[in-house]
Amino acid sequence: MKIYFLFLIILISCSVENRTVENWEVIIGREEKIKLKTSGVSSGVPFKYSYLTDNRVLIFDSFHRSVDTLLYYNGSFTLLPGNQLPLEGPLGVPNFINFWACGSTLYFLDNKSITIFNKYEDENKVLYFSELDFFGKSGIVAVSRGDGFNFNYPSFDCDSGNIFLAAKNVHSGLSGILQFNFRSNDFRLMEFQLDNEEIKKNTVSLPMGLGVINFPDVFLSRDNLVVSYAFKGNFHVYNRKYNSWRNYDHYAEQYPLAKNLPQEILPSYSNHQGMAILKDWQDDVSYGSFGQLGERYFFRVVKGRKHNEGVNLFLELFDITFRKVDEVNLTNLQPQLGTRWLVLENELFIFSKNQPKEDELAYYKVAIQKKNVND
Amino acid sequence: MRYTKKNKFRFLIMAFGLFMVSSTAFPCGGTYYACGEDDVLDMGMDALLNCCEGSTMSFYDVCSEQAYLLVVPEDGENSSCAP
Repeated sequence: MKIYFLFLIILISCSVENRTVENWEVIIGREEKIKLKTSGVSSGVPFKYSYLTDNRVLIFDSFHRSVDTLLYYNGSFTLLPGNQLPLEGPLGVPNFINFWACGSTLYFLDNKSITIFNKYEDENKVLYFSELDFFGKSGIVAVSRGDGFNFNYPSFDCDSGNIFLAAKNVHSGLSGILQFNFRSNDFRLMEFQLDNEEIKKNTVSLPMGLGVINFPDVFLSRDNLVVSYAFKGNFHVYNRKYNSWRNYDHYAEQYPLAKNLPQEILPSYSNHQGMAILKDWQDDVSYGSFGQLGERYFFRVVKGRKHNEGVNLFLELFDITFRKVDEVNLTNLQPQLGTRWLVLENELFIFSKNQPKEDELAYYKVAIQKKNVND
Repeated sequence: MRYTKKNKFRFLIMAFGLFMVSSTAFPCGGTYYACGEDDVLDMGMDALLNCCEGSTMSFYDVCSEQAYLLVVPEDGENSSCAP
């Protein structure tokens, strides 16, 4: 009898873990617009951005090749034009996938290297990932972010001098998380095994080399490094203070927990047949990278599986211990919401998916608050 | 030099192609914008011709909101690495 009782207690304690859903209220404001004025930033093209302070974000104007500043002050946005970046020469910055700022130095990440730019220096420093033997054998090492639909790489810590990157040896298919400290110039592969088998299963590319992006996503929040995937909801959190990793199993009520595995692309397939398979994989559920709102909760935007009527977007909310507390259908609240967002002064702004004027960036302010128990 | 601000979107999509025919230093890295599957494939084929093995670049299809990664599998015949 005691054994049955013990089993019952274990069963109850297992089933309630991580399953508490609280009632949170998400309120979408009216559509507002950021005037882009003379900036070359177009609302029709996603821009790369990097947070500078709580109310300033650097935006790369790819039209003029300048680093502009978007300032959020007293509830309104102002875009301030910045200096142009040279493309060639000793201080030339080639095309890149993301960038960060620390003091007077800018760090530009390409899929294969980091360029360190300081206008007060004579020339840039460039670090090539291919020179680093991280995966046991030589090969092409590429770096990317995972979700492909929000153009930020929030894994940079100016204070400690750390950049965390998801990297992959494209020959062996092995992935890992790199830590680069730009103060000590130290690069290392973190001692954490990603789910490489699952990443490989979700890798699909045409024979010409064009493929889907399925790198892990990294998000840094103080001592916590969150590693998540676009193709599944499960994620890991590394605590830098205690040097410990923890895996978080995910659950969802309104969308799949993971993408279906991609169909194999046979050598006889044409590029267009192959592209149809790449698109099918992308049209399946897709988990965005994490963001943080103040000291209270984390969030991420999830693109539901595409269906005839389109795509539903969801907002997943997590408390400060990474326990999921709610999932909200954003599309039901405001069908015009897109997948790109910004957090400034602890407020979430989601850009509209329809941007009819390229000199105006339409957005919605999203307020999140806990529902009153008596509601 | 600042460009006049007309059709920035079209400019960005064309930028990759213009680089391919007008510059000896091909932009074999970074993120490029496309509109539609044919555009993505055309950009990819241009990169295969003009970039060295291991060149890696991202393509973002603005019209379908889908992203792709291209890793050039061998030295392109017009690339600086061509034998």
